[in-house]
Amino acid sequence: MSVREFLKRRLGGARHERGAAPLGEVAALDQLDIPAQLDGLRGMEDGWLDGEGHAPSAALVDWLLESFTDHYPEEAHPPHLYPTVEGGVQAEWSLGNHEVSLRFHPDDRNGEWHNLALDSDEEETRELDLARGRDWEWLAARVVALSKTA
Amino acid sequence: MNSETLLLRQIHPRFVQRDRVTSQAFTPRATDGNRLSVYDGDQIGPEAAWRHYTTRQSLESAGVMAVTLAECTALDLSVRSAPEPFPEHAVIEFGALGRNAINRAAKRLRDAASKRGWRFREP
Repeated sequence: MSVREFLKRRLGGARHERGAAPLGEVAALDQLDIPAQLDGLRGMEDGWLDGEGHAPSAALVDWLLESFTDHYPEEAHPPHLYPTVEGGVQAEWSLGNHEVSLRFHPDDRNGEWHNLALDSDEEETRELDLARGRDWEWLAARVVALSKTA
Repeated sequence: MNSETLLLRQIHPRFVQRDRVTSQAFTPRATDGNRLSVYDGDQIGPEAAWRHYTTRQSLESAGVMAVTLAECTALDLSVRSAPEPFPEHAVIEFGALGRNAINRAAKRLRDAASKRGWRFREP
């Protein structure tokens, strides 16, 4: 699926039809457009971090776009996406008192989930096998659940 | 330096997404010996630190955020002056912390800095 098709589907999706979210909230979520953020990672070059840092590969960005399209629901709060120095991608969410990160590795389809509750200092860590839809389902359900505490 | 000293951290443009800064901006790299480089805010202001970083050192920065020395020590991170390669240089030491402990500290530093807001933004 192309970025254009993804955008069309997302912008025409359930979140926009429901009309339940306040306009400001919808605008804020749409600014976190996942394909647009991923597109911003394309064309990076090795050495991007003051001479260090590997660029995320096109294959990784393509796989993330496809995976978010297939497995990440409209109901889940979209993440902020950043490159990592190793050539991976890190997704982050600030959900109420929870600071959450998911580190996508550059060379495989695994991810490291880390959830810190700032008020209680409780931590949750989990290694996700993101080649499998089941771990994407766990991820989406967890983000939705944490969003409700926000 | 004292407990209220602001430790000024340069934020790489790639570590800012829709005005949100990643916790990676407060995560030390293993190649730096688990030390996070900062400017001692008692010796230099945010704008001057940004100009020094981007012109004298020719490095990229989208702006400057800050944590206090007290916020670091509350996380059991020590802070010391490190006047090489320039006099205002200081480091936050993460020591021998493991991966999860580093993630936890970086997220708390990011949270504190974000609540404080940008000290200087790239013009």
